[in-house]
Amino acid sequence: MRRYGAIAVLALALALSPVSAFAAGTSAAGAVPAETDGPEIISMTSGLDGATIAFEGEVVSEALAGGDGHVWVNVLSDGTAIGVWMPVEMTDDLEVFGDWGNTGDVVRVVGILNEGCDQHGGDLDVHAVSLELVKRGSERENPYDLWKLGVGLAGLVLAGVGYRRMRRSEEGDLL
Amino acid sequence: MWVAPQRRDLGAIAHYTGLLITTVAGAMVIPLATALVAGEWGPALDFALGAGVTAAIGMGLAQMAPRGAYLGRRDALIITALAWLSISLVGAIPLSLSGHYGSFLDAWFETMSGFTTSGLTLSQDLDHMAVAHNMWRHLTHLIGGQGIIVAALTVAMGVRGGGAISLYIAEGRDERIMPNVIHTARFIWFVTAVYVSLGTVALGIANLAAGMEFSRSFLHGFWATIACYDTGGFGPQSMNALYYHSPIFEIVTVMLMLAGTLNFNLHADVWRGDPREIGKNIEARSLAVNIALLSAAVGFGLGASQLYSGWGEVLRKGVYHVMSANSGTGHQTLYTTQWLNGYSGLGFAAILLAMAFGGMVSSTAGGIKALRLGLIAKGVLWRVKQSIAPASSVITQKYHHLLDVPLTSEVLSNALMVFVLYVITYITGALIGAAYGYPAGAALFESISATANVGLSTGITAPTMPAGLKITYMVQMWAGRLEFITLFALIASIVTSFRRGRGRQ
Repeated sequence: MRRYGAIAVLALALALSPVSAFAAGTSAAGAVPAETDGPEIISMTSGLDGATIAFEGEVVSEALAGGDGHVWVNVLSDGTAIGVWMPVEMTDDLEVFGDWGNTGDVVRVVGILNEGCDQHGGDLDVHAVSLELVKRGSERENPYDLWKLGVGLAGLVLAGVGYRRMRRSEEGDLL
Repeated sequence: MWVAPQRRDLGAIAHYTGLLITTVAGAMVIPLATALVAGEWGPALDFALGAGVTAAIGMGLAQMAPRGAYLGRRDALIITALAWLSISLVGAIPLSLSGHYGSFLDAWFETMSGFTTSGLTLSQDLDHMAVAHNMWRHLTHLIGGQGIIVAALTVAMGVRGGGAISLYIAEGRDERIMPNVIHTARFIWFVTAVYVSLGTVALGIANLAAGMEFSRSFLHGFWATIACYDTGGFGPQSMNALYYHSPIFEIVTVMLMLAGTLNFNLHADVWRGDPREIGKNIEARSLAVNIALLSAAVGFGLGASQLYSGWGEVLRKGVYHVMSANSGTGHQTLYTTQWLNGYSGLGFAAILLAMAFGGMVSSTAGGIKALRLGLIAKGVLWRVKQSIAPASSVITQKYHHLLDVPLTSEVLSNALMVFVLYVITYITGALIGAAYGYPAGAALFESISATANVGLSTGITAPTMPAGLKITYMVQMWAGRLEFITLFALIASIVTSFRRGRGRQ
């Protein structure tokens, strides 16, 4: 009985140890993801190649066909856009993609980082394991200043006066 | 003897520079119309202001021409040098109002990079940029790539005194495809229109198939086409060519880069149904050897990085980036940080050389150029033959560039002079970058990229880099586009005018 108790304690200690956490982090399925961001992902010095990572960012522009029932969604994280390859159904929750008129949905991506993806021509990409909507996107405010129109029109009037003067001068030359 | 420009010359220079600037104001109507169609009212106002102010400046300068102003060869050189500076300055006005640039200097850097077809960018939050501002960024490649002077001559800006040919030569072009330069300029635009149409349709369909919305598909197709055919390198997304994740996109753009780096005389031969010249031409052969050797070197370098498991990936990345570097395009499917931290070594060195060597003369490619490298190689061969031949013998060396031409000491010394000027500029820019605290390798990469009008970057070129380095790279892009002599003519004219002014005091 005491022997079984010792084995149980040892198993519990191993399960909770940093070594087992590290081992779990390097496997794809059921991994504990390493929290990161766009600049670290592309740094090539993160040591996360092949590891499961998690990062947040805004989806931008559109989802592009990725083959095999997958799409590419580009996620802008701390100013760096990362190509994320994911099954089409994973994008069901996505509604707003970022562009001039909109701030896109903010998502949390969990996936495997490939610094030189064998499947995609050596591109640096992330193959998504899960996608979670963090914040719904919204319309961006793009105010406009009418004084710019005034300055532009004044410039055009001046240019027109200059052009007429030049033409008159040329006609004068011909006479 | 140094001859200072007279008051009459300055008037002519101002007049024609003003007309060039007015042409740029006319070009701003395209992004203005784009903004109106896309419902981007803020950007529309940016371009309304930009076009108005630019037209006023241009017409103001055009008033300064004295009656019957004659345009001499020296004046043409000065106008050409000033043209790139002045149009990038006025072209920056709408971009500086966009909210995507940290300062007016950043916007000016962007347009200098655009017009010189370099492709280095200081834009911020590119993924949220308006369609109109992106249209203007890419149009700067089209206008600059075809040549500012060619662009203006096409709309016949009315150069008096037979100065058109002087302007044309001052811009570094030597094509004589048609009986006069205005017809040649129009022919250049016609061929460009054919390539741009084909590229836009091919890439537009590829984008459409990938799931892009219809108008975006063809807009992106148009932008990528002019960025590659004019060897510029801007992209509408922050990920540049990597955004598309598409082998088809890469194949089409490589073909466009190749077309963009071809000497226009060779384009004309192909157009007339005589492609044999490409096989015989020293420049085409030199470029082919260059691309083959450097692609192999990049391939070995990338292979050694052990990031890739197959040669297919190595080839795809290697050929794409060598073509991008050699042609001076600067499109990339790698992140900037990957050059230094992932692929340093042989691959990095080969890309440096590809950028430094450049494409062909009379094209939009930058760098030392394949013709000069071919001539220098022939020159070495010539000297070796002379050294082992009997003292009484006369050794001649020929090369084929459109015609069979004897290699002379003058031709060789011109090629060597430009080679040396490029190398000095590459090193100077690298030393300045290193002095600002950047690693020497990265500083050399960025300096070559700017001077050779390439646009590949290790990440130094960013809104946060020091203003002094931004100005350094702007001067390098300007000097590289003008191939130095035109710029030196401008500097010499300013210095002699200043001396004359002091002499009168």
